[in-house]
Amino acid sequence: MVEIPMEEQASLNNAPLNMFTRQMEYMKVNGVPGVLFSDCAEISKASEAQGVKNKGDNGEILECRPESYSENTLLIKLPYAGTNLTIHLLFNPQEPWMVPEMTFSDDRFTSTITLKDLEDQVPSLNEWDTSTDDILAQLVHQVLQLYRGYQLDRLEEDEILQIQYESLLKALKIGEGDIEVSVNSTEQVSTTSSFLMRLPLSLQDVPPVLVDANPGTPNTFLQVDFPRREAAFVPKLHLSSCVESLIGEASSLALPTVPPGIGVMDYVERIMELLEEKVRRTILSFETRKQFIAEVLCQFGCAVVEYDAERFNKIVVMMEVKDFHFLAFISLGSLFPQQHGPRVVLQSLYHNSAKEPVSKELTDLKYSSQWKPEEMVQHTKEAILANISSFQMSSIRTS
Amino acid sequence: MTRIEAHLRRRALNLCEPVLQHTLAACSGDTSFPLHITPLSFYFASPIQVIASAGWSWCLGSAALGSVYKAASLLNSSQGNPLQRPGPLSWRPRGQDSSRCFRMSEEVEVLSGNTLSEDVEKVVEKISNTTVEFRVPRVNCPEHIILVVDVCHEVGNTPYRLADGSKFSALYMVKRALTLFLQNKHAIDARHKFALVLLHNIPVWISDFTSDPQKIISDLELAEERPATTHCDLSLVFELIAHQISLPKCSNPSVVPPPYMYRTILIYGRSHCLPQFLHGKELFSHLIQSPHFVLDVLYTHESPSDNNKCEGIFDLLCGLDEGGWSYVLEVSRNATKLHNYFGTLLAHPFQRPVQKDLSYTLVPKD
Repeated sequence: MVEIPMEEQASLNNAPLNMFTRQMEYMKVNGVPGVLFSDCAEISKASEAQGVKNKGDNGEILECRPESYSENTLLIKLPYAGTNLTIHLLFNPQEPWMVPEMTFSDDRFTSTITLKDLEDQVPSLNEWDTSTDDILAQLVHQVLQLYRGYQLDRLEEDEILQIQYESLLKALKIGEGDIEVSVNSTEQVSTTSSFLMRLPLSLQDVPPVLVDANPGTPNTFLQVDFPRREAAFVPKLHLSSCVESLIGEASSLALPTVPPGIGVMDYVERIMELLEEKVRRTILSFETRKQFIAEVLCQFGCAVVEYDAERFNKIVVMMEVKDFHFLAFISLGSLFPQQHGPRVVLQSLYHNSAKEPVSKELTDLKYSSQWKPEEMVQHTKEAILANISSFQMSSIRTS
Repeated sequence: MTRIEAHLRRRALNLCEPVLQHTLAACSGDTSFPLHITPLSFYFASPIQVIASAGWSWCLGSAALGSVYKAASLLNSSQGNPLQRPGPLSWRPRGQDSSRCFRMSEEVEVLSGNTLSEDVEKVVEKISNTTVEFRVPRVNCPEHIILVVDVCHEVGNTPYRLADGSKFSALYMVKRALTLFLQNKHAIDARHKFALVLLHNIPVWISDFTSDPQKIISDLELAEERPATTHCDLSLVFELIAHQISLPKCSNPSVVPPPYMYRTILIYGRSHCLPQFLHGKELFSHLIQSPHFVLDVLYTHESPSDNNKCEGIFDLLCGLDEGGWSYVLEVSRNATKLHNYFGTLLAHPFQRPVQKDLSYTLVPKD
């Protein structure tokens, strides 16, 4: 029997992690293929993860902390259809380069798939090569395809859900890769089933400068949970940060209540109308800001100091009334013009406090979202004129 | 006209100023279309789209270094097929124009259902053959501003006298006005950065670029007046600047905005010492030829007289504006005007009007 020195033993124990550093990095950079929520996937050592819950022989829930093999196990946690599928890859500490054993957090899936399923549909297990950078990504992708097929098979056992699924594919004109299904109801037990679908929200008319302001892919997902057969489904909206920056956070968007008896397809169409209207408003806001800035430039072009030439959120002009010169900061926000008008702050060129020049925000600015930009600018000008004397007096007193 | 005004006029005349004839288009005699002409400085660095519909053609008016009079109207979209909505906001990439000019003719598209009048045709032809030179897109990229402050105190310098009778030295007033400049510039865009150079017999780089105006203000407070020197070598100033900065590299500067740009504001305060390039102008020329380097000058001086060299100094400082993009301002011992000019200097070099077009008066509606 060959005795392995302690140092080599420790090294061998850590071998899976060191060996797959490149592969893990590959997935971090390129994303996890086959899942809609790619950014939420996690790869970790078993020892870093929480204990895995399994069902005991009597059906009780047990929490396992497989200490004995924790250093040789990689956990790949994949968000899927509103839940998580965790793949446990157990490596042989003596031969870490060999194909790992696999188990899954979905016990039913584990017990359903056969060796033949793995041989046919997860070919990377037969072609296991630890020198390949994307070997883990290939494995994950193939397992997910297998899991997807398993879920679709279960979907066929639930006629109502099957009809909902097919109608969604047709109505949204999305592919099977854009929808994840998790079927958890059986004849004996009915628990929550879920659909997670990528909504085809088009941003093609949104000015690129707004889309490019945030990194990442602009994705819009709707999760629909079916808690019980007779109960109404529960919608949840998930937006990528890019989309949120355009139309607001998902939590702030009031989803319409689910009318009793409505099909998922009809409800999703309402959601799409809501989101498309939000996008239209974002575009309108941008265009109106542009028009407003252009109108200010038309009227005060010879006094412009600086303006936001990309998003048209702000313009600063220098003005003079009876030899008194001052700055006017005019800010527009994402809620302009629908919900509020321009914010105007007068700022002094002559007087300051310790940290900043004396300034005054105009609070009596008349505004209507129905006005054209020329009218808005005219009213802004009038408000400035009406306030300039008091600003001049107060800036002398304040400094 | 004062000599200073004459200088400004000569500078304006020397600048490239293509002038187009200003005209209105009227084709079918239908005057029901509302028309208005608005002066519009060319703020969006893009060709202005000319739109025509149902026999109307819109012509571009006179251009003066980017100032274009645009005949604008609301198009009735039911009247055919307008090319695009009007406005100075339509932007298209410039394409393969290798020079810093663009030709308006590429963007002028005229549709006419009816015959154009002869006058309109002539104007359209003139527009087609006109070029408007443009250096950089009018984007408010972050500025890296180098403040070069002259700390020389000449014998006999008069102080600033305020309305309440108080007196302050020239350097004190410059510090005070600069403080407001820094605070206002930071409020406009917190991305702007500032560096401080003090100019005495040689320029000294005091503060490196920082976006915290308070740092510069604190360093400025410590600056003390120094006795006047017999010479002022501008070569050393621009040599120092050239070694401290790294001009951004852009493949197509007339189209692509740079990540940042440099502006030097030279605040010169001597009335008896002519600033000169005693060691050559190579580095100055290298800097000034870059579209991402702008030099502005604020000259604070005694009242011009035969006993000083204010006018000659101002002539020399005006001569630093080789491209016509600089602001060269001068002020005697007028505190309000000094602060006003620091306000003028707040304007972003890529978006501000040329100096001769500046006008701040807010006219009441009546």
